[in-house]
Amino acid sequence: MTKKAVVAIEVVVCLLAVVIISIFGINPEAWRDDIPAQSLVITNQSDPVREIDVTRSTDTNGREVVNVKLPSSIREYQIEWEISPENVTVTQISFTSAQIGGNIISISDTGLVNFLTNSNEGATIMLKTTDGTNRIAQMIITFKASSSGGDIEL
Amino acid sequence: MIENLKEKSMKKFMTAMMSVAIMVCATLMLTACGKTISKIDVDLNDVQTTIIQGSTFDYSGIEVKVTYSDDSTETFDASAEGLTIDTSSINTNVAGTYEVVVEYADVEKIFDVTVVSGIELVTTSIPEKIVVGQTVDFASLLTVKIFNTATTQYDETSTFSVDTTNFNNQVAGIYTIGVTSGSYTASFDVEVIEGLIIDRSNVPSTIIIGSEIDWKDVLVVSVYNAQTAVYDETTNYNVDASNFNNQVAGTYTIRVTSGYTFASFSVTVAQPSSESLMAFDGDTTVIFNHATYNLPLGTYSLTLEDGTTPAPQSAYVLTPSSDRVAFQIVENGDYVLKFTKNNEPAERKFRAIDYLTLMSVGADWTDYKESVAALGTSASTFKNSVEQPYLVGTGNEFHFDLSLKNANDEMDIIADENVLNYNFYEKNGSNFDEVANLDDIVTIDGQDFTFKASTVGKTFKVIVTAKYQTYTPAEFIFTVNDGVNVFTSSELSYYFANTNIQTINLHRNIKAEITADQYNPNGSLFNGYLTTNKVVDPVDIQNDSSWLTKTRDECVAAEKFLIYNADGTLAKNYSNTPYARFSNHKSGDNLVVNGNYFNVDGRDLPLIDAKAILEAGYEDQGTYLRSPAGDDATSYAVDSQASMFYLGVMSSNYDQNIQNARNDIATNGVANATLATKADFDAKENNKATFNNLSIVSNGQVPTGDMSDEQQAEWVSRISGSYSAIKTKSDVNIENVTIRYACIGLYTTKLGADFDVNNTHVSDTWANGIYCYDGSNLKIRNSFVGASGGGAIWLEDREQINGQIFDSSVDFDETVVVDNFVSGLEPWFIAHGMNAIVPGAKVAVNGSVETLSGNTKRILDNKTNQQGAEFELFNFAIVMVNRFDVESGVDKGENEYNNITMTYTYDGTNVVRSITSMEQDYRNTSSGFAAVLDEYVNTEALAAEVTEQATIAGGALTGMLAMAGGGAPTADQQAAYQALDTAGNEVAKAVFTAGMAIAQGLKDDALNTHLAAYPLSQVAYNAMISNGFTDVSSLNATALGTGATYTIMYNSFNNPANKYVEVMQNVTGLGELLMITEFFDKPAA
Repeated sequence: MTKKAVVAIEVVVCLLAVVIISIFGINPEAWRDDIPAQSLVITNQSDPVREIDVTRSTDTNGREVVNVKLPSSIREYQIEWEISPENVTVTQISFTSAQIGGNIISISDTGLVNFLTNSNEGATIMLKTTDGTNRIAQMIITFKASSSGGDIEL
Repeated sequence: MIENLKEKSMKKFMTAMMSVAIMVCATLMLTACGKTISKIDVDLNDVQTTIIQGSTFDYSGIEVKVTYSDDSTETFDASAEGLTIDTSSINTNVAGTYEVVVEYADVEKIFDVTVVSGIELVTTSIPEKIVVGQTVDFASLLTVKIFNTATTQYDETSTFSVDTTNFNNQVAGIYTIGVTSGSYTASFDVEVIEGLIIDRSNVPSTIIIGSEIDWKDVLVVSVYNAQTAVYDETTNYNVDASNFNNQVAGTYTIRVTSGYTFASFSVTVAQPSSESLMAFDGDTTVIFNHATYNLPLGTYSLTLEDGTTPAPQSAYVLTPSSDRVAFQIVENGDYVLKFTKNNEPAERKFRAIDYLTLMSVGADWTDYKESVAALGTSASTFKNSVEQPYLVGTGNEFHFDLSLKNANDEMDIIADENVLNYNFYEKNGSNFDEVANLDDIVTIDGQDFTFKASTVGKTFKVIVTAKYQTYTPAEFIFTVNDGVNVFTSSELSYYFANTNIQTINLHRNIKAEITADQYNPNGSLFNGYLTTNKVVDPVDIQNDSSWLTKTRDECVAAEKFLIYNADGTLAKNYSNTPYARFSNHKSGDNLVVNGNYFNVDGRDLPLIDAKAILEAGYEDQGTYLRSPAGDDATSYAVDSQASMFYLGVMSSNYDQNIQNARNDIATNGVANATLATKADFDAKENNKATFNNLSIVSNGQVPTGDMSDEQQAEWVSRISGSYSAIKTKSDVNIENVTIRYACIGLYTTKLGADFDVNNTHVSDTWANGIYCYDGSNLKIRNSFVGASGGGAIWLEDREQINGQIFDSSVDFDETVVVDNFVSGLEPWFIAHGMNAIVPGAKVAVNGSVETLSGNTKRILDNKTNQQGAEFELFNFAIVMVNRFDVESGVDKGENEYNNITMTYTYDGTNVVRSITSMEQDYRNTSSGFAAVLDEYVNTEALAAEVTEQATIAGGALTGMLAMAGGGAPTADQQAAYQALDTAGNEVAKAVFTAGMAIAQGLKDDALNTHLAAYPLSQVAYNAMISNGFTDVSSLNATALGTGATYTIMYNSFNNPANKYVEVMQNVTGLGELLMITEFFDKPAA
């Protein structure tokens, strides 16, 4: 077999590998040039039209908490986030919430939160990078409460 | 109309005239008779003028005697003509006296008829008012009399019955009681009144779920006083609220009893709503600080809880309008509302609290639970799959991780018992029993829970619920120890530094932070190399407290980076480590950091910026910056290795102990140096820190070997300034810790340090997963050491003398997995000036392995980067460097060098390599020395095995030769052969075959001649080959002088259980480098 033939076969194999990886999304294990996450930020903003208020605060550990306040009528909410740097290798994040276990909410892999009951029980949700950097972002979703307390009998 | 009036007047006139005429005529007629009636008398002797009610008045026996004007009389009976007896007034159904009119010839006589009841009731003994609940025996209190017509008297009778059918002493009202005696009936009325009156106005009629009411504190109860006929306030009553359930919405009846009387009222428990957002606690109305309530019109004032101090205006809002007063308390607390009720002063206790829009376990506890749930799966990097207890300390306050938010969107809510219920249960066997008295186990102050010493070792479950709202309960299970609880980076820094603290329990994922003091004035991270002599510890400060008042610049200039207070707390931290713990005067320090599976996140910590430090002229800090490319380089490697956790706790005699050991070795030699034994040293230096169940992520990144020069320079400058995870100058025990993205994962710098690593994951490190600088004794088990920029485990022996406390060593086994494929071109190698060495060294090493494995194995694996470039990588597992490089041309046997050793232990086999091992061991090639890590890696063990097998083989061979025609074997030869035959193992067969060659002095082609000449030998040889042995006859066994050793060693290469090969190589600049790397099958050509 000539060198040209060998090179040709190698090229074909490489192209096949690229195609296969492209189709099946398999990361080549060959080279450890993963770019780890440096930050994970929730990017949701207020939506006056839907009467959704989004504010930001900091917890006792200096971590940002994104507070979302929903009208009771809204039972579905999409979490939006960004991981930096832009070319980070592992973009998948995990969602954890005590309210998932309590069957109060469900969260899809794309961050769509569904409130499964009619109660106004809110939810606290932790987003975390899955590349081992353990970058954390927190969102708290609550529903607006009535400010009327009723009549006091004396 | 006029005509009609005339007609009517005429008729009236005519009627009057006719009446007058009739009267005149009657008078004339009587007059004509000659007498008139002067009177009428009635004889009632035969008439019953007192009759029983319901009977008929019979006047048939009446006699009427008419007396005329002439005194004549005439007697008539009741039927006489012209006699009328008018009884129309009599109502025999109604007792009373009635007039009967007897009339004769216009003369009337009236007599009375009395209608009496046949039965008479005397009720004077019966209470006028009966209170609700009061039982009355009417029959015993009642006197019944029956009318005796004969005597017209009432005679008392005992024969009667009382009908109380309609009577209900449970309900206020007027009831008629019937009495029957014979044919007579009578009744009397009794009034049942409320026996007690409940003023429940203090309790709202509707309260929300969770309300608790101290009924006797809020009810005003008055009991009817029969003597005074008024209600007197009393405290002598009981409240039955047994059916009241404050957790379930509904309307409940509360019954109040005092003696036999009682009253009830109802309370409705409901979910919070805009119609009712009031709760109740004890005697206090609980309202929510975000809500506005409606008070009736009136005048109000609000005071603090004491009832006298006016509440600050900022605390509340009282806004009157036309029909109500709007009321809101905006500052949480207890108050008293004063007002006027029924023209009397009145007051009501109020408490304002937060209305929760969220209550659940917090994100950190949820994350902890997720971590525990993932143990043993690929999702977890915690190696120990057995869940460890969550630990809570008694040393300070503990806060349950709750995610709370109020209606004002505030998160820093005081989650005390006004808002939440905490129910405690103690583990008892497999059950949890509710703790009856919380005071026995914990002191509660708001949301601070301080567990008592008596709870150490006990396990509790706590269920937290929102007091007045329905949320999914939060459940916590934990075991108590005597440590302190840490929730923030500053707390971790404080307690980690404090040498009085021995146990720390983490309760949050902590974002590592440093203070402004830890930066240079130009904003770059301080780059001081922290060592024990740069610490003013608690003992030092007692001798010279002036350090406490010195400025940062003064301390830094004096190279004192940590200044302690005399009480053991850290006063100043000018180093770059967030969590430092140092002392030069401490023994028995056994700090334990229980991570509780939480993460300490150093990702946002700054990097040491070498360029900024140098440009700012911080020359002293530049000492620890190095230019791999010389003075003209634009990149600098940071050598100081800041660490997130950095501890150095040693006794005040540490230096002396070391020196004594040195002297002892120098005087008595290693073998007899009792002061240099590990046991002796450990007894004196007994400080050891433990980290367990902890995750640490730092701000580094693992480099790659395909970077451009510019990238490498940039990475070296930048990432070499990242933080290590744990650095220690003390003994340390790492148990179930996961470390990612550190400069160095685990790092010790202490002579004689015990460095125990178990169940630990270290990966993605800039330099090394584990680095033992100086004489550290690393023992690692059940761990994973992943990608790093250099050797996964790096041991650096910087001591020229031998001894357990002076030689860095590693003890590992097959439970340790290393996955660290490097090319040698990574920036870390460049930073260490190794990039010019390693690429060549790896090829040389690979060549040694290929040669010694009979060209079947190699250490290099070809991998391709994303640009398609192919690199040769090797799994750089362990490297031991002897810093005392032997200069070229120097005899290594000279005293200056001949004691330099490198030691490691694999699977319990201790291997000691001297600096001359490369030359002395028979498993070498011209370029290096290699030994598979297995039972024969120890040269002595291998030699002993070879000797033993060769002895067997030699005997067997003799017997074999005899049996093959060389004559009758001797008895010894026969026995030896039998032994070989019985053993039957492949090693023995191999040795046997090789032994034949040895015995015959055959090598190379001579072996084939021998095998051809002796058929039985050929059989044995073939068996050896078929069992995976390599024909090594082509190798020259000059070092040992026997081919048998090769046979055994090559079988080690072929044994699938073997994974690592030890390679010694001389690397210029580093000296003899002992490297342990993975070998694999060499692909077929």
